Amino acid sequence: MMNDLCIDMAMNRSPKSFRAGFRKRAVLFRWFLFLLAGKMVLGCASSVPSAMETAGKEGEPNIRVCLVENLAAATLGFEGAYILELEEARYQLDKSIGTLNASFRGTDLILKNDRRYYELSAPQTVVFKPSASGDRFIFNDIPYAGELWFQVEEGGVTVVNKLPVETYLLGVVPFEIPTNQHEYQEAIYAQAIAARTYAIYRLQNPINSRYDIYSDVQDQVYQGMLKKAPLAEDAITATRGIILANSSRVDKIFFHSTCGGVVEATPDTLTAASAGSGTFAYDLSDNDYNCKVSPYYRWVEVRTLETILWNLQKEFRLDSLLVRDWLETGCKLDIQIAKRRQSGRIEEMVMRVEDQLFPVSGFRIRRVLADQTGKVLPSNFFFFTESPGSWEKLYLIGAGAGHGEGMCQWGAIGLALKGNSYKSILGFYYPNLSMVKFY
Amino acid sequence: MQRHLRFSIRILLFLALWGGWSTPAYSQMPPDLKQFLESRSFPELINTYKRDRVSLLTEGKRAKIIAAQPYTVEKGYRCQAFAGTQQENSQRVAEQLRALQLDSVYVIYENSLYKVQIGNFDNRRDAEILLDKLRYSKVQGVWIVEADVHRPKSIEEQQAFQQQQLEEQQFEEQPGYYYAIQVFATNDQLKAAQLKETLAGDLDQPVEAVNQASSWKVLVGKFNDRSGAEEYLKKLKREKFADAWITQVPSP
Repeated sequence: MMNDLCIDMAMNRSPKSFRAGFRKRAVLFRWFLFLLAGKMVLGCASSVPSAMETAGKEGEPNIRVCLVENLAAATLGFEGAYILELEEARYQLDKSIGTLNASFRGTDLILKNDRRYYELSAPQTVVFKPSASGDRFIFNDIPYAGELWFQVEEGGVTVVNKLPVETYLLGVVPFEIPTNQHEYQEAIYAQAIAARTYAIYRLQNPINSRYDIYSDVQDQVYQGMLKKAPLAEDAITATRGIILANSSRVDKIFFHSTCGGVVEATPDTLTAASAGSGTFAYDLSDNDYNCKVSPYYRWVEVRTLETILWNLQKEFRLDSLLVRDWLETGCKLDIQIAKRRQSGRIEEMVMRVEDQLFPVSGFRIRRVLADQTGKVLPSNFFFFTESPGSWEKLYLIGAGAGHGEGMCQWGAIGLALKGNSYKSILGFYYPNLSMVKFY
Repeated sequence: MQRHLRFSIRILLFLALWGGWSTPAYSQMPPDLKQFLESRSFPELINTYKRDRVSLLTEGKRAKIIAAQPYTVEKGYRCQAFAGTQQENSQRVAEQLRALQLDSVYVIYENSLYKVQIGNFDNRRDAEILLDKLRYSKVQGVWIVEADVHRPKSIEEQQAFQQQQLEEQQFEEQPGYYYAIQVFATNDQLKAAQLKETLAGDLDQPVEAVNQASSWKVLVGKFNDRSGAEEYLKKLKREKFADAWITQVPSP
């Protein structure tokens, strides 16, 4: 277990000490605190994130979420007052300025509408700070809390949202698990802890020096304050600071929408012993599959040869004229499963059009079998058959949504509906981890 | 093997009855198929029925266009009266030939040249007869070329093709519209997007925010028949949307 006292002492910095006018003394004081904290941290627990910046409230850290990499165009508005400090002036931005259009031209970030015009040259980081905790900025029609950073570099602009972890979770939990039924509450608690654990892992293992975590399925889906979900808010508040960890470190934990009845075994999750096989486990309790309540428990999808060819064009950057030629003059597409996991999930697949081979694996399998709107296949857990009515169609019969590792979110809901607490849900999916109060 | 065959027939029957929707929603899956798939563990289904290889084929759009014509295309002979880069000239020559009461006069673009060709002949001898007639009519500079010629399809062939088209159309048939349930309308795009996001996580039907007649509407579900929409509407009315109603939406 971690030493809570040490963590609190290391993380608690008094924000009051950073007032203007005392800046010099404050900087010295900050260094003193930093050295003191570092010494104490090294002295008490190796798992404490020494370089993590805190929001100042009971040691709660801030997290930097990447909203967009290589910004091309976006819209930006404000609700409440945001402060922008530039070399030449200090600006206050609120609802009255309307919506700004953001674009990157040459080496400059342009923010403009009929009332305002800002031209911000590379390299610099432009920070919009909220005046009060309830202030929001609206980026591409989604409201966000916390600070907005434009990291302007010659190669492009990265848009980052910096905010306290607990506030960040308000934009994660409702998008990771359904939050509309009181009966789901225990599963929502479990999700809040799992999402917080993932965030803390990312703080300790950031993506790069500019931001800690992505805002999409590459990490976990984050949609700012778009959705107000009281059950999620309750769960986040009630589990504040609690994460899953083993005795010495915070591991990267996984969760996914629906396992379809079969969870892949990993060191921290359902053990192979419980499955009676080497690498996967059945997500069963009371002799019933837990995620049977999921809309993705079983599914059937249809794909046309044309859709698959255009997906291949996108994935392998093929000349579109080549694909047009195949479709004009006719072609044959062979799909061969090269490797399945023991559970049945497909790991590798080879596609062949005429003389060209296209090996695909992992998440890419779901992308090359996306539908015509670009929506990826729910999972790699499927088998296929040709359409009885057309040589150009393929039926995919599958189970689950997501990669199948770690906690099954719909399985957690199923367990909650069977009367399990969030502790037993987490114990079921992560038997080798225990709950720790991180701050 | 017998078991596999039974399953394959069963699946194919289900799918044939179900139709060819490209994005089937879970609730639209035929109950028999749903029950069948849910009654077994998925690894068991895969181990029993998996196939490691599948092939899809298309004859190509060009072949489909040709197949829809009342003739087949074969190698043969034609008389050629013009070959040049100017389209206007080719059209002028073609008009002159049509004025001689000649049918089967074609203007084609091939190898960067506009060509005017006449007739569809299986053998060179028949093409030479036409060439003589043209020369007799004072049409100069005509020669015989090997070309793709049109051979009219027999009535049986045409009927067989129409029947095949009809069968494919019946199988592929998709309604020109679908039924959805409108739960909200607003002028505020953000509000519509927020509600869409909220409902998308909560409902087992697709949710979309569409812009119609200068207002944003939040629609739930994609139902091919009204009865399916009515069934779902009852559920929505019970839960939270007492004022929701069914609307018809054109398919994209």
